[in-house]
Amino acid sequence: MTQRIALLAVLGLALMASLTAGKVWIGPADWFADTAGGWIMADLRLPRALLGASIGAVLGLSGAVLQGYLRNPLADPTVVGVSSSAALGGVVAILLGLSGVTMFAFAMAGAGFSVALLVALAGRSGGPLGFILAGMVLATVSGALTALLISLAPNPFATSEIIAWLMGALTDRTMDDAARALPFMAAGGALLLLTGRALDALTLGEDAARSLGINPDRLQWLIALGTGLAVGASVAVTGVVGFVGLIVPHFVRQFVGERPSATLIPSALGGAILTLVADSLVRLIPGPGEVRLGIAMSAIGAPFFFLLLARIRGRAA
Amino acid sequence: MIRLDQLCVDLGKRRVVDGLSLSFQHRRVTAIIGANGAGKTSLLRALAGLVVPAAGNIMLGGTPLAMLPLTERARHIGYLPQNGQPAWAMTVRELVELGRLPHRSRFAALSPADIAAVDQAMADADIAQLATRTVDTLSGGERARAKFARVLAGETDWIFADEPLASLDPPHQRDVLHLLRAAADAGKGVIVVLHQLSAAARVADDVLVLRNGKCLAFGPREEVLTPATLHAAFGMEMDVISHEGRCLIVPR
Repeated sequence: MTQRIALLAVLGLALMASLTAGKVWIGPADWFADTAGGWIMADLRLPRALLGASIGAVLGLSGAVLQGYLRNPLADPTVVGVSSSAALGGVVAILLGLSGVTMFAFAMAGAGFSVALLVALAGRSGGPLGFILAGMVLATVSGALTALLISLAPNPFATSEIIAWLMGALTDRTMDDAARALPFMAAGGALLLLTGRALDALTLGEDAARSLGINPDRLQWLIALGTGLAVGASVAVTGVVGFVGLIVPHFVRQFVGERPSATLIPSALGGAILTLVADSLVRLIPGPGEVRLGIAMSAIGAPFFFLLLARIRGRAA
Repeated sequence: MIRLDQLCVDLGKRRVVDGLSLSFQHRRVTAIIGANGAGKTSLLRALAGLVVPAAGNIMLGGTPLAMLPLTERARHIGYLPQNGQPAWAMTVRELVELGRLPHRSRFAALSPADIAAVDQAMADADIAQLATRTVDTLSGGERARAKFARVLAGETDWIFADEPLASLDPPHQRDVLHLLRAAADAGKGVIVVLHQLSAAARVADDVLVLRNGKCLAFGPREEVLTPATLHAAFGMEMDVISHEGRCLIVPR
């Protein structure tokens, strides 16, 4: 409980940082005023902060759920193909010249298609092994199709637009974007939060989990659907942001222990914090444009993860 | 009582349990023995409801096992699988608390009854002092007792254990046998797959001998554990020796 309160406090600070970070300083007095500062706050920074927190939360949560389900600390939403399938849908939309709600719908359709294929390929009672194998097939096929579409793009501008979108960013997102994505992320997150006790039981293996009353088919559906809705919506609105789902659960285990259900909410809070901080930092880097969030996350995440691994290995030795 | 009626279990296209009709009783330890591939683990998994029988019935009390909802089944049957090494380094107490999952609603905290059951199970398995240790820091014997305490915490009528002595040294094998015996003496039905024949002779009231999925012999251990039956089951000569009131089985 203490850890959750601490994480909530840090999340509050990260939200404040996200609302204040940018090329223009807006004092608190102007936040709700009918001025240019107030408009920037209401139309740009608030939706950006809301989306950053939500996207980070669902990526952290889905990473914790997938690592618990697959009993593998290397799992994250990219491993099971949902991110790449949603990205493929988004790329198709860009090539068709679509944007806004139709592009969102295409990306969600990609995520939905991946969920259906994931469950079909993993099979009834296929278990975590079938799930991860099916996910890797999906991720590989989606990645290959995305690369094919990029190579078939009609002009360099389209290629550039696709690549920039795939890198992930929260730049210029609006309240309309937030209104479209948040219900899906909330629904997916709620489904993922239902998995806690089943993930705890699965720690003992599939047979022991079933003997404790866990229905493996239901669990697989919950995870596929929850990840599809939450991660699909996050990719649809920002592109692919990596590393959050991988590293945040590792970090929170240092404080809350390794019981999977204990890592879910802290991973959601930690993911929100990490994404907000990274998105604030990209706005403070001087230059003509912003560094893409996906790039910043990898630049922050990779060394951080390396240090964490070194520390864990040092403790185990 | 658990009653089997012409039970058959298939593994792929191979029939691994073939037409078993017998019954298991509470307050007794039943050891299932047989050569590798005889169908011991498949039978235990079918009894726990983890595989669907190809034919026949399993009756738990007066109810077909297949008709019981998963949670209800879990409240009656505690199952200790082979090689159940936890995937995450949870604490011993968290591990034992998992035994209470079938008794708890989804987001409910542990009730006083849950806490009492966990405390009792940890005391019975003599692991109360290990409560805050993580399972990856335990010795093999400590881990075996912690896993057994998880099953005890479920307060089930039945305990099924699949080779619980595997990888344990003699003192820790003795500890686990004591736990099995104590569970049966407390009123539970205990069914255990064993490869250690002398351990089966020591702990079991009844012995079921399987060969190629069929029942070769079933009954009180004194009647079943004979050189002739063991030779038929394992294809080798064995001596059954009485020594200071104990039964020892020694391959020639």
